[in-house]
Amino acid sequence: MDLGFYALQLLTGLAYASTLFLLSVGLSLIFGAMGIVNFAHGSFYMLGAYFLYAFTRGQADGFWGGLLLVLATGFVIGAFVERIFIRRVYARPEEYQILLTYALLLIIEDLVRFFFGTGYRAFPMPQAFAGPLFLLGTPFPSYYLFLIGLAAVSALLLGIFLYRTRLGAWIRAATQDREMLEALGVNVPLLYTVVFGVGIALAALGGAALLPMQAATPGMAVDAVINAFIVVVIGGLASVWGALLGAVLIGLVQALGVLFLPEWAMVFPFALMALTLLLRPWGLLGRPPAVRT
Amino acid sequence: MALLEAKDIYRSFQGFLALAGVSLSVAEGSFHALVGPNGAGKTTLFNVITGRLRPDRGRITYEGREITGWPTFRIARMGLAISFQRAQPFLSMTVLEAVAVACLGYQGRTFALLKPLRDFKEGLAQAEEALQKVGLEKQSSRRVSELPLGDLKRLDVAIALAGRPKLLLLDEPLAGLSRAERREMVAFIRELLRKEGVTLLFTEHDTEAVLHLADRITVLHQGRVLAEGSPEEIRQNAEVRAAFLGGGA
Amino acid sequence: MRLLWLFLALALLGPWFSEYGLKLASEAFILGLYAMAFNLLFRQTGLLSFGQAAFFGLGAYTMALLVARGGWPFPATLPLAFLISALGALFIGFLSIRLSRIYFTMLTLAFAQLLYAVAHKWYAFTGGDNGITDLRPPGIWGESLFYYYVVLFLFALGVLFLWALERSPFGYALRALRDNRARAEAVGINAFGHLLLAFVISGALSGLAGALQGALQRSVFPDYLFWTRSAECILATILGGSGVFLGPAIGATVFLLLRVVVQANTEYWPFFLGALLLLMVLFFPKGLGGLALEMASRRLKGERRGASGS
Repeated sequence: MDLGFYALQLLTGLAYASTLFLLSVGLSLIFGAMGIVNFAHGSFYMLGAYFLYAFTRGQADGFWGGLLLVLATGFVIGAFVERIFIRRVYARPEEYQILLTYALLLIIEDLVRFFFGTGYRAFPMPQAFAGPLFLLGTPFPSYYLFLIGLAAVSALLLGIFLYRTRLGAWIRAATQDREMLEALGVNVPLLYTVVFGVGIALAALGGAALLPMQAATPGMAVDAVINAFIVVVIGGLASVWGALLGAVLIGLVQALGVLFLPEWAMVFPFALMALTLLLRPWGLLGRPPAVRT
Repeated sequence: MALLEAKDIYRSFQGFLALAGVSLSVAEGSFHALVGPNGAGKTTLFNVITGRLRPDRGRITYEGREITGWPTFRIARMGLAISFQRAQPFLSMTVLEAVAVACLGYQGRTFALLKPLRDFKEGLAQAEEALQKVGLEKQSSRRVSELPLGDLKRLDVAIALAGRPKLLLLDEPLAGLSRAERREMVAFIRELLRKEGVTLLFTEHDTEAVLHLADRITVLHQGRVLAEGSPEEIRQNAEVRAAFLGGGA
Repeated sequence: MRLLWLFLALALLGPWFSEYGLKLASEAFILGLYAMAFNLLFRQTGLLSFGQAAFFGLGAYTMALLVARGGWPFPATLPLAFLISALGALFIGFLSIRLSRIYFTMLTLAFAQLLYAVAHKWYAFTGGDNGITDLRPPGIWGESLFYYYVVLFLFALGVLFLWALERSPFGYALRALRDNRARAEAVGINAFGHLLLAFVISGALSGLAGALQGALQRSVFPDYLFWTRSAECILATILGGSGVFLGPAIGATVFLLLRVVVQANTEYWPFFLGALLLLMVLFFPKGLGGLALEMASRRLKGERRGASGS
């Protein structure tokens, strides 16, 4: 095994981390701003993949338009779900908010089975990424670079949105003190709709972007939401950069795990999460609770 | 002898220094007031003493034992009780149940799984006794959620007293009460605690009540001790006056 | 005591059931016990476990492995199923209870799915998705009526235990923690210890239910650990009403009847589960039991008003 081989594993891990980031950053954002843990988050990730398939009829030449369409649809669906369902339970105890998103998880899974069947839905590699690239003499899928670039651009745009725009400042303020925002006259319900829409759009984009590498199945929603949980628990719930760090860590751990102990690979992310919970329970970049609870 | 001693306590929140080297000594049998404007660090200090917050630096000793970093429940079992400013004790229970479960909590006996609470005669007797002390014995079978605010505060004091504490912390016991109720509450606290021999450490914004109730006062300002002394000394302290007039307390 | 009358009535009902009825009733007791165990956490502590299937499945696999691989007699496996599930809950609870309730919900789901994945992939030990089959309990234990009484007895035992727990200082301490955690800790109640013990009890009872279910079905598959299995006890609880002591057991019965009807007509049962949960959460958060209580108290008030008016 030469250096190129290890570089390839590293790249594989980063590519995986990229989709993980898109998936979990919305979960983190929604929790931070609205205080709601969205158990259906993985379901929207799954919908992103199926929508790309449906919009392009599984044809690679519709990839770019399909991706944009998925992003837009994701936002609309997210906003719609917030308006129709989530909004009704803000005043309820948090367990009912969780139950509501859990019900959506069940419903969406069966809707997908109804419309797309239980089998795999695969998508061909878009023309632009057909040939492999070489790193230190080892071939690797050029699509990896696209995934990493997509996540990097998304993180950058999200950073600009949150730290350079007024809307972003309000969203950050919502993580600190919601009453104050209302006192300032900010339209908080609208803000919530936007946050939910953005979070869902990113998840859908992540699901769609992974489709050429990995076929979609109805079972992927639960696996995805659990991966997102692991990422945000490690990085720190409600922290956008925590989601980034958590995604990279899990991506690399997963890649190394597959390399050295393939049978146990799926246990490693859990082990890392357990370790975080023991040593730094609020996550690597999360804030410790002000008062011990 | 000092019952409670805090030495050089520091605590910050995300860069904001809430306590910057506070030392405090509460003598056994005294009524000690902690005053200062909002944000002076009173509540943070209470949270540090009761173990809800860990100090960044400094030590807390109680009855000569260091309790820094102990969990809240262990500190409570040492006989250091607190009654909160926003009294919302156990709203799903009856008055007697709320005090009885507190009694057993202080004694570390709430891991009993099968014997019903109402068969813990000793605990119930202690609970009734605590309710008598605060004058709520007639309300014992009412639901906590039905009590008016004044009675809720009394109940919270009864819950604090149920563990027969040596030291009682009261966080703004008069907040939310009318003028008449305040006067009544001050008299009630003083009489009750003198009779029980309980040492008191309390915070309060009502200056008149503080001067009336306390025999020792510590003034906190921006996380530091500005002055300490008898009510008379504090009243005449120029620095305190300047800080309070300037700080808008 | 009303509970004892209820158990007596259920016992007398046994001989009147058909073979199919006995199986369905046994399953209702099992799901009832499972949901009541879930609700110990949900109602008394506000902790919402999305991974209750972890313990249901642990209990079922313990029973199945001991019977199929160890040659143990079925009844002897029940205490061990109880114990192993308790240990599993101790481990998962230790990691999950330390932070907020939201973390608890996320982590219970995650750990349960981890167990599912392990059971699914570890062919040599669990048989993977072929499961463990042919678990026919020997002799009289395999007869439906006798098994009905076994399940009813354990269900009754579990319910009485939970009933006593609710009235004990431990139950009150849990309620105190739920009502106002800061206050409860300030009167000397050890929050972590109490919640962990409640979780362990809940897990152990779920494991017992899982073992009973495995023997009833005569087989155990990885789906005993799957997240939709966790959804079953949640739905039974919400359906029957989490605020009513027997609510989850009532919900379990309604749930099973619904499943029989829905599954006879469509394969999209999870969709119905989800839609029902959605409706209950949005419009009837108190469940059927809560609704019944409300109607009863309204009628009572109406009568009183009528009496005082006349």
